[in-house]
Parts: sequence; structure tokens; C-alpha cells
Amino acid sequence: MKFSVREILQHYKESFERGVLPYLRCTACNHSFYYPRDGCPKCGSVELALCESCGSGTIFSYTVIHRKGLPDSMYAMVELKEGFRMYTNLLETWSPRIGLEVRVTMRDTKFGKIPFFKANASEPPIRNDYSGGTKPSGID
Amino acid sequence: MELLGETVRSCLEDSGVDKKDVDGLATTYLPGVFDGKTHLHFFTNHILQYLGIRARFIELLDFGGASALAMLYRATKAIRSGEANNVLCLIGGKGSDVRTRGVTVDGLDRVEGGVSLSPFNHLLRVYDDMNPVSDYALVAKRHSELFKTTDVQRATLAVKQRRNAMNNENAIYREPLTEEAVLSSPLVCDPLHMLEVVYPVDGFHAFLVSKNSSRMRDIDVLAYGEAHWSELPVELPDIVTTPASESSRRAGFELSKVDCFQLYDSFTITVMLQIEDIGLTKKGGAGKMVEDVDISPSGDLPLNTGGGSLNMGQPAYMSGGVILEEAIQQLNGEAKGRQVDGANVVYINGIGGWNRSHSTTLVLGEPK
Repeated sequence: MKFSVREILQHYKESFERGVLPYLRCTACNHSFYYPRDGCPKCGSVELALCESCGSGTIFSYTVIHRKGLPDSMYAMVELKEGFRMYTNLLETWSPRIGLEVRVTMRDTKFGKIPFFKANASEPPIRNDYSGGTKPSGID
Repeated sequence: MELLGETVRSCLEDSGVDKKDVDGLATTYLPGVFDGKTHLHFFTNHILQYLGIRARFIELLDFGGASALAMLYRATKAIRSGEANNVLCLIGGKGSDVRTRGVTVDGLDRVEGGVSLSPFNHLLRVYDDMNPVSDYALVAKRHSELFKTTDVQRATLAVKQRRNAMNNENAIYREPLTEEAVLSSPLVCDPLHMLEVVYPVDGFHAFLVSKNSSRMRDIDVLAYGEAHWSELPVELPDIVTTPASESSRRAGFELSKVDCFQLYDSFTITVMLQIEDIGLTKKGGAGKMVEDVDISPSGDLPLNTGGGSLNMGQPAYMSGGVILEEAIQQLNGEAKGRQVDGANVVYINGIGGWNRSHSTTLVLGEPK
């Protein structure tokens, strides 16, 4: 189906509110993508499907950001089971590594409800020198 | 603007060209680097107004750090086609104004309203990042994961570039450096340490491309390639390859004929990515190569022979002018204390954008 950008963004907003991670799939070439456009960035088709992700994925890469006077935060790329990738901040992930399974978690921020990720298995905070990315700026 | 005027005057003096004969301008800008201003439209007119130049050829490039090399190429083309006789190429501005506001040029939207960095702001700028450092850190982390590249190998590159800088009287950082010192400098974005990251400074580079000869050596573009990858890095097949792989292929220059290399060095990992992408080694081989080669002016692979912008500072968040300056000094035998013997062919690669979208490959040498 063809969707306007407005309709796509509405789907994203409603999904976030329901705690679900949205994405788009091109029904012509089957390419899955997260960053919303009204046409497939790969093949150009406007025949898209508004989808819901299972919310599970793995860390594709990550970095711990250190800043004077601020808690550490973790910036990452996550690859979802459906094949698309997105930027995010990792929360409560005490032993990050590439390939680690993570799961989406919606949080209220000054920008509204948006998706973050945290480690799938609950691991105890074993490192004292690292905050686990608990409080990226933007979370009120 | 004063800094700009001073640089241009000195450039014209060196080239022996009268200001009234300058009929072309190629330049670039980033928000916040011209006296702290963020929005400047008709930008080239601001520059020409201040300098008092009427042009018949203007090129405004938007490739960040890769712009400088594109300027030189396009100026050469304009002269060859008769569109201009003397093209002034300008790169620079102030890093300090933005820095004192606690952000980088990729984070100005955090302190100013109504600034867009991407069509996907609402899904990108809601997260805490420190781009470009954090995005390059993601690449460094993944490069280590895929190819077993170590922190020490990246530190070794910083140390070897510093050794080159120690012989460059224009370098800011000239004290001896050790791997231990690099690795014990504060982590900015894991795994990148403070001494693997360029320091933004204030300054301009001005190059005059002319159809006339000057007291400097006649040089020409021997090869050129440009590539622009529009994808967000997260949407690329992988993040460890840059558009330098494509721009260098497009330039298609045989590396064995090169006397020295100047590769964009915003971070240690940036140089390593280009070492692989331009074909000095296979993908993943840069860590080992950095350990093995001598990058000094007399070494087997003279690279970033002036110490690069890691040691010269990065004017206005773009290192393109720094690598181009070093290339031209090498070709003119003016690289005092760090001259590569018989530097006749210099290979330069520039990378631009927090997301490495832009790459330009430029090979300079004597006209054929």
C-alpha cells in the first residue's frame, strides 16, 4: 500500500505509545527499514507495509560516552530480528558486547515516548567504574 | 573574518597574483565556524564582499572535510575550460566559538532551536550521542570485533604521526608520545581516547589555483575520484568501509607510483579505514600494517608526513586543508625538516561528514 509520511509517522507514534517498535517493509523487494520514508530507499517502490517488530535484536556496535560531570551513557547500533538496524541508547546493560541480545523498552523523555534497548538477560552491575548507561540525557 | 583576510593576503603574496585578477572562489562552511554564526545564506557573497573580489566562477561545496580536495579539482577544471583564470580555494573558520558552547558542529541543534541535521531528526536526535566522536567510536569498536584490531595498534598510529609532527615546526603537538600515554589519556567515547581525536582550532587555508606559473612548482591533478554515500551508517551493509573505497577506485591511480600519502585524520581509526579502502592493504589489515610500516618521510610508506591534523589541530572541524597543505609543501620541497626525498607524486584522501558520507581522492604531481 502507499502511505503518506504523515500516516507513517502516526503509525510510529502510536506504536511507541503502545510499547511496540514499528518499522517499514517494502512489499516489492522485501527490504526492511526503520527510518521513515514514503518510498523504499533500496528499490524506490512506494508499495510499503507498516509493520511491528518483535523488539528483539543484537548489539551491532556500541560506545560508552564519557563526559565530565555527567553520567556515562551508551550509544549503540542495534540490529533487530527483522533485519533492520537503528541507533539507540542502551540502558541497564552492564556487560555490553557486540552480538549481545537486547530488547526494546519504551521510556518517556522530553521528546515523548521513544525506544531504548536493554540487555535481554538480567545481569548484575558487576563493574563499579561504569554506570551501565542508566541515564542518558533526555530522560526526565 | 580578520583571520580570513590575513590568510588570503598571505596566499596572494605567495602566489604573486593581484587581488583584482582573482575571478573565482571555491569554498565550504559549517555552521558556527564563522564568528559563531549558524545561519548564513548567500555565504560566498559574504566572503567575497569582505575580501572585495568580483568573481565569475563560484563553487560552494558541502562535503565537510572532503571539500578541500574537491575545490582544488573543480578549480582546475574551471581554469582548463576557460571559466576562470585564478580561483581562490578557502577552507577554515573558528573551532573555538562552537567548542566553548560545549558541543561540536554536529551538536549545534542541542543549543540552538530550529536546526536540522537529518531528515530523521525526530528518531536520531532524541538520543544521547557525541557525534562525530561517538559514531567513529562505533566503527572503531566494530573494526576491533571483526578484525581483532587492538587499542595499541590505533595508539601506534598516533605515536608514529606524532614522530612526524616532531619535525614539523608548524605542529601544535611536538612532544614525544608513547602508546601508554595515548591509552592512558581519557576515554572520550570508548574505545577512542583523547589523544586519538583531533582538537578543533581556529584557522584558514587558502590555495590559489591559477593558469599562470608562480615561484612555486607547476603541479596538476593526476587523478581524482569522488564518492558520496547517502545512507545513514546504520543502514549500510557494514560500517567498517568508507566511500574512500569508491572514490579511490574512481581515481584509479597506481599506488606504487606514489611518493607520499596524506590521509584524512579526524581520528586514528579514520586513517586506518582509508589505508584499507584506498587499497594499501586488505580490509581488516590496517592494524597490522600500522605496526609494520615506517610512515616517516624516509620510511617505506611516508604517510601524514607533517603529523596530520591530530598534531596540527583541526581548523573549523575540517582537516582537508591540513592534508592538502602538507601535500603541496612536499611537492615544492618546502616541508622543512620532514621533506620526502623526490616527492613528485602525492596521494591525498579526504573524508567528510559525521557519518563519513563523503570521500574525495586527489593525486597531485607534475603536469604530464
